[in-house]
Order: sequence, then structure tokens, then C-alpha cells
Amino acid sequence: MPEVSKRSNSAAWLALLLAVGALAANFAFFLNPPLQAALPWLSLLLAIAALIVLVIGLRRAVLQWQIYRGKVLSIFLAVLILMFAGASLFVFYHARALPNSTAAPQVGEQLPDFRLADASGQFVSLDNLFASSPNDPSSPAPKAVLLIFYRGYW
Amino acid sequence: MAISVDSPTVSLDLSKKAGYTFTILSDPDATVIRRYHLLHVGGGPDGQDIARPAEFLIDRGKIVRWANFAEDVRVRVRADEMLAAASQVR
Repeated sequence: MPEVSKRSNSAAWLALLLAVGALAANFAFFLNPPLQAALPWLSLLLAIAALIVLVIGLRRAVLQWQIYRGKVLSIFLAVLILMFAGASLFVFYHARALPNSTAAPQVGEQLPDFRLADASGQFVSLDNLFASSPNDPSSPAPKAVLLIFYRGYW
Repeated sequence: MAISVDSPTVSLDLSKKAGYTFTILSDPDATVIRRYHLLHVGGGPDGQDIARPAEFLIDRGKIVRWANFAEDVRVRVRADEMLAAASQVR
């Protein structure tokens, strides 16, 4: 009796593609694309979609093994998918686990002054920043200063 | 100008490698970061206290004209957004 040829478990492969996409979305930040702010949500969506499709794929592989081939392969893929989707969700959580800064200076408030050392060890205050450009003393004094607080440890 | 908990040596190294021309200041004990209520306790790679990402545009009176508090460390503020805010300051 000829063996009925089984169908390929495309759900498992689709889930893997989605999970890889979720992780890849995190690298896309470095390309600085126009809709960069939407990337976190895209990666979250792809990770969740990967997990949903994975469940579909696993059900097919395990419960409908007569129809779908590759039961062992599907389980192997499932491990990969869980790792990639899991990593994406982990990154999503940690990249957004920031304290709320409602007590920080808001628009309209005056910034507290400070004196901090620059890269050459010289002390600099807010007033110094408005005096003139440090690299070109002949240029006009700035009308505005942008203070960027960054995480460091690059 | 940029402020972080990195020491002046680290900042100078970063500045040289990246070709930055702006001022980078060091706040190793996070004193100013705390004064500005921007502390992220344990946010560093080994659990160090660091600044949460934030940008302030101030005028000569040190009044904040524009501020951004990043909700996601991966998303950078766009330069054109900052420049647009800066051009509004007289």
C-alpha cells in the first residue's frame, strides 16, 4: 500500500521566520530608519505572532502527525523559536524598564546649575556653555544649549 | 553637550573615536543626574546606577524649552526634531 505523502509543517517554518524577524527588528534600530519609533512594537508583534504560529505548528506536528511530517524537526524548531522569540520579549521588557522621571525638569522650568569635569578634566558649568563655543572662541555665543543625558558604558 | 557617569578618560576616548566636537561632561557619582531626577538605579550593564536617557533644550535663562524622556533605550531622538526645537529659541 503506497504511503500517503505527508504535508510539510509550514507553520513551524513560518514561526521561525517570525521569531528571527522579531530579533532582527532589534538590529534595525542601528540603521536609524524613518519609523524607528514603531520598531519596538513591530518586534513585539512579530514575537507574539511567532509564538502563536508555533503553537499551531506544534499541535499539527504532535496531534496530526499522520498528516504533517517532521515531528522531530518541528520540536527542534520549536526550541529555536522559543529562544528567539523569548530573547525578543526579554529585550523589549528591559529596553523599556526605565524609571518614570516626573520629578525631572519639565518644559518651562529652570534647570538646576552644576559644575562637572569635561573630557580634559576642566570644570564646566551651565554658564560656561553659554559663554562661547569651546572649539571656536570667535563664534557667537549660543542662544540655546542641548543637554543630552546618556547611559554611558559604551 | 552630553552627560553620563563615564569618567573623563572614557569620554575623551569615546569622543576621539566618534569624532565628536561637542562638550562631554562626567558625572561619575551621578550627583547631577540625581539633582535632575534622572537616576536609573541598577540600569548599567553590571547593575551600576546610571542616567535614564533624556534630552533638554534650554535658553540663556536656563529655562527648559524642549525636553524628551526616552521610553525605550533603543529609540533615538531624531536630529531634525531637536534642530526644529532649537530654531524656535530666540
